[in-house]
Amino acid sequence: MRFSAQRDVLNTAAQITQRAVAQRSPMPVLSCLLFETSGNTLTVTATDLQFGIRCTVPVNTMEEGAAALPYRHVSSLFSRLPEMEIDVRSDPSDNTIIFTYGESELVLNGYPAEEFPNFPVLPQHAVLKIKQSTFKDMLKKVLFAVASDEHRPVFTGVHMQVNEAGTLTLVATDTRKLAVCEAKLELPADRVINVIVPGKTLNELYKLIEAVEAEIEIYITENQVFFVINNICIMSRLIAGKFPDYKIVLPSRYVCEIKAAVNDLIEAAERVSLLVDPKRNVFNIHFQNNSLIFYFFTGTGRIREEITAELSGEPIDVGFNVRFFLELLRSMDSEEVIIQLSGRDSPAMFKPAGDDSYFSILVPAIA
Amino acid sequence: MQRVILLADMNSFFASCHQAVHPELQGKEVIVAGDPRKRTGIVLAASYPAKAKGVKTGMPVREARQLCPDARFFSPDYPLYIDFSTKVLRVMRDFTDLVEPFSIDEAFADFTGVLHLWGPPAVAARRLKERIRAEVGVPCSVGIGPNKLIAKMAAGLRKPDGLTVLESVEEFKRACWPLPVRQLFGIGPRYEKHLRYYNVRTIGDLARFPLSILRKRWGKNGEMLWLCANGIDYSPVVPGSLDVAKSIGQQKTLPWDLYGFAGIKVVVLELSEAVARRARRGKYVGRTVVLTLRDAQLRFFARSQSMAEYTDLADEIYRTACRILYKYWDESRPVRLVGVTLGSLVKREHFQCDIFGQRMRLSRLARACDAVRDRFGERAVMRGVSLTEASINRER
Repeated sequence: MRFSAQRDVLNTAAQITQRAVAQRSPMPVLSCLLFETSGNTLTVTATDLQFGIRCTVPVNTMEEGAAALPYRHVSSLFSRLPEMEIDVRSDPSDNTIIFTYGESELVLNGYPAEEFPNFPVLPQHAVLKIKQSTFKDMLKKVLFAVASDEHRPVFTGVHMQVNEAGTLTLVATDTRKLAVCEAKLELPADRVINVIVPGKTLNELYKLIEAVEAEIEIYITENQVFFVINNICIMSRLIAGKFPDYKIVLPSRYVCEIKAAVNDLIEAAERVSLLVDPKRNVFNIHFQNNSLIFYFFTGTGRIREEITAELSGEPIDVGFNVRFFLELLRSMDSEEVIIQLSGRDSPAMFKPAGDDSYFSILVPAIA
Repeated sequence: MQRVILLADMNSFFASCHQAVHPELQGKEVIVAGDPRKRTGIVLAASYPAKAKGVKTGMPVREARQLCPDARFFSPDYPLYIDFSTKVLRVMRDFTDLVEPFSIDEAFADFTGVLHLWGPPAVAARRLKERIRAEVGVPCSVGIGPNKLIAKMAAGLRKPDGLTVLESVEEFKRACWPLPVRQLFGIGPRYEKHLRYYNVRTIGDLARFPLSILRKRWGKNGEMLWLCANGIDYSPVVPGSLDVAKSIGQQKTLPWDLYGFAGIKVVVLELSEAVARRARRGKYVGRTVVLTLRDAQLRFFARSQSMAEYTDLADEIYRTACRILYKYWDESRPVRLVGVTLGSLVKREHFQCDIFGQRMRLSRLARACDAVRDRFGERAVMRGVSLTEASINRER
């Protein structure tokens, strides 16, 4: 293999793909980035077998071939090379790569490229295309609700669904909080989709996609999902299992509805959280006519916050985990939030005012 | 101001309790031990006459029987001991409100502010001993010193039924420095062995040993030991220090070795149930589960895992313990002892519900079972697994 490319091109490709490198794997080749040239493109690949990223960039190819190099050295090398055209040449006889820049050269020892696992083949047709900005926004609204412990594997993922009407729904829950976000697809999807994508994959995807109009293409096989953004392809296994139907837990009626400014709530809750014992994390809110009262006392001190709000229904007093409460509110991008309560121990519904495509649910803590 | 701290240490406490219930056994050989048929056959406590014949705590019952064929043997009766312990504390609280239980058979009391009521330290201590003897019926050794450490060391000097006053640090040095370092509070066989390499054999050797070397070798603990050897201890007598539980644990030596996950899981579930019941009774919730196992070679295993939410539910404790079991335990090893502990306890002020209402249902179920057991006894409601072969709750 031999090619030449600008340092920045190489650096970008390495920075993007290295997120998928297996950090502590018994297979040393998995800690490598795979470099392959074909025609005038260079493909850089990293995978931990569950999750992988592949990135293609244009280069001047002199000779086609492949090489696998430890990511730690390659990525720090690329960020330190001078900004100029770099000549890269592999020597398959001893698995080394020679980087020539100006009058200098650096040789890195690598692994046999054929030991690197094959990247799964992308299916022929994308099942879904959606604007990057829309998808990024949807991810932001649900990712906070993904479970962090491996207790029940389905809850470490996001349920991605497309129904016959062409509505994309993302659902995530860790059983204490739940978030549901919908989008009507402009292009009708080819088929009905019903998969669980690991939260970790979507977190990486969230960092890679930008708030732009360009589209992201989604491909699905029986047990894998692929996200393609321009020259980047992200592969991930799907989580097996059945995601429980969230609709059965939605409260069918509520006794109290309140509308308040999101920022006021966040600021008040942040002040409350200063006093909350991290072991308990629970504070109470009194929902009453024209206002919400946060009150709380510990050995550290006490706080009482009053926030103006419009209430309809009966006044009620509910306890919430302050950390979850803040996560829910921070995922709202509207100015006002509508909170619907159906009892001290029933799930509370949070909706951004004037937006029907999103809601989240927080289950109270009871005394 | 010089403090006057007192430590009361009940002598051979478990044996003394049985003697108090059976007055005819006063001054006789009494041994409290487990049941060899259930493989819990070790000596837990022995009265002084039995100790004089060589019976030691931790000795197998068979050996104790050979040394002391005429001794009266008792099975442990914890409710009885707790009852006696409470009575002793009640007497002590008549003297001062600053009473800190240190274990089931020891308690500290701060007499500094009440000497005008009870007289000089030695007189006050004698009155206390007499009242415990008369009202509870068990003997105790009392130590008095200017701090908790010296009081504790003083109580150990004369046993049984002793009374020792070490009025100052100087007196402590005179009395305790010649003693083997092993007798210092905080020194076990491990420290003793390591200290021998430094030629530290007595408490005095340790006190005169350079602090910098101890600190380098054992950090804070090394410094702590040096302070103890020098009779320095600033800790106050805190009445409520044992009122808040840090963990709740339950363990069981099995009547026979268990092979395989299926059997171990039965015992883990039964222990989880017992731990959860105790947590609910004390209004605690905990977030860490420790699984303890001991195999047939008495090799010890303990691992802990935290949960996402605080709990007092047997099912959640059990599931976490099982995850530890599957992750770390080799199924082919025979199991002799199983223990389940719920740690990181806090008082149950709130209970986080879940979206599917499952925690709520489990919580209500647990409380309903508790109510039945409170009224009709612990065996009134039991898990189905308690009917299987591996159960520790099954009647045999």
